[in-house]
Amino acid sequence: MIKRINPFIVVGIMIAILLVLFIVVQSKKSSILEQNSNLASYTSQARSLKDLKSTWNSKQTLPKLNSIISNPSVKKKSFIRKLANKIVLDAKGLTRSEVDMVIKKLLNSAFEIKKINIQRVDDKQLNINVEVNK
Amino acid sequence: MKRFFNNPFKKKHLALLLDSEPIKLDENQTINVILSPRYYWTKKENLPVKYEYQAKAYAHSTFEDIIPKGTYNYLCKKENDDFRLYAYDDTFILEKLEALGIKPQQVSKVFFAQNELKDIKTPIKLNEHEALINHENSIIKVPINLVEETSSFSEFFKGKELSNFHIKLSKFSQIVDFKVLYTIMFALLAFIIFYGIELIWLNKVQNDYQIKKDAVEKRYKMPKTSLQTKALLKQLNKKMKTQQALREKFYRLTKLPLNKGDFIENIKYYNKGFKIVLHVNSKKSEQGIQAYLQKHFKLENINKKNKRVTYEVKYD
Repeated sequence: MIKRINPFIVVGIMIAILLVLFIVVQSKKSSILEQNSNLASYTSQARSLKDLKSTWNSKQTLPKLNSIISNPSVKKKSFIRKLANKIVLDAKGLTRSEVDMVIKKLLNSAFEIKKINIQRVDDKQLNINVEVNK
Repeated sequence: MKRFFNNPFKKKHLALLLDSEPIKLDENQTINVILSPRYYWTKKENLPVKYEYQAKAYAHSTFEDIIPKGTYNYLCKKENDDFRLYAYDDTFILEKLEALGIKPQQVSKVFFAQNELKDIKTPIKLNEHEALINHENSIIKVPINLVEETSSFSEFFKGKELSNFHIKLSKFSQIVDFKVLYTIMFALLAFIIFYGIELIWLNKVQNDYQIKKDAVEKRYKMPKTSLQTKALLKQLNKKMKTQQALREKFYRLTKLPLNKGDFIENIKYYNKGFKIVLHVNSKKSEQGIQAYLQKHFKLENINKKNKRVTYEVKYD
């Protein structure tokens, strides 16, 4: 026998379904908004991480140090040592202008400086010793 | 609507003429009920309208002074150029059916004797005391002793089919217009469909976000967990901050206010601090240098030996 369903019950069930759907849709919307902002922050995090990684790329340290002493007169007076966990730049008998140039380049290069030692030898000469993290 | 062929699958229900001899029903049996004139009022009217739904609007005023006061349902059927109006009380009929042991769900459709028995030629015996006759196109109930010959309802109904003019009973039909209720149901259904589609779409959007996140992760070679990412970012930012501070402070040292004859003998940087050895010629110059260092650094120690002054400074 097919039972006739009371339309009030049908309306009640429909309202209940609608209410549940409404709540689910609203919570979904707020979760999507959250996801959207999460994705935006994640993307910005990823970009800054990429920038930072490329800035502090340890593989570039040695080439950067070599470029600092690329000037022929500076190159003659300098040498670079690669140690276990650091790279040491030693320059001896540099003139004041050469020291200015080396310091300027040092300060503008992105590598992790551990130690700097600038020693005046006499009126015309200076020694520089720089330790950089590998 | 005219039927052009008989539907072999159509279920035929037993027809019960209300107020006739009681019948026994199985619990699951469904019946069609034909209301005897006791359960409705009917009147044929010539109304200045064209359609049944327009004529129905006149029903209440037509019956107002004729039938006892109460709450009624109204119905209308066009007969040639006239309209036959019906008034009936759902609750009263349902109570009668309940008294007969018939549950509302056992009733399939409800018909009017006026419409179903309009073709009777000989009076139909309703019960021991009453019979139904057709008097000037109106089916009315009369005492049985007023008629000479009667036939039974089952004899009359043999081989006949019920019309399409019927009602459905409901306890709430007088307080709620079912058309309105169905409109509400339709609107609710439309909303359910709308929200259902929106939910499907939102799920898709949510999945798209995950795909985009995976693409970013792959493109930038991100660490597997957000905790690792945060730790790495923190470490790199700290390195950046320390190195920027070192460079800024070193630049400050290159701008030391040295006078004629003053010179730097040695500068050492180690762990957020500098050791500066200066050759200073005058007290005034020394005071100027000290003030400058105090302005830009935390002066930790001063060691003076003749013109050779050693400063130890730190910064945050």
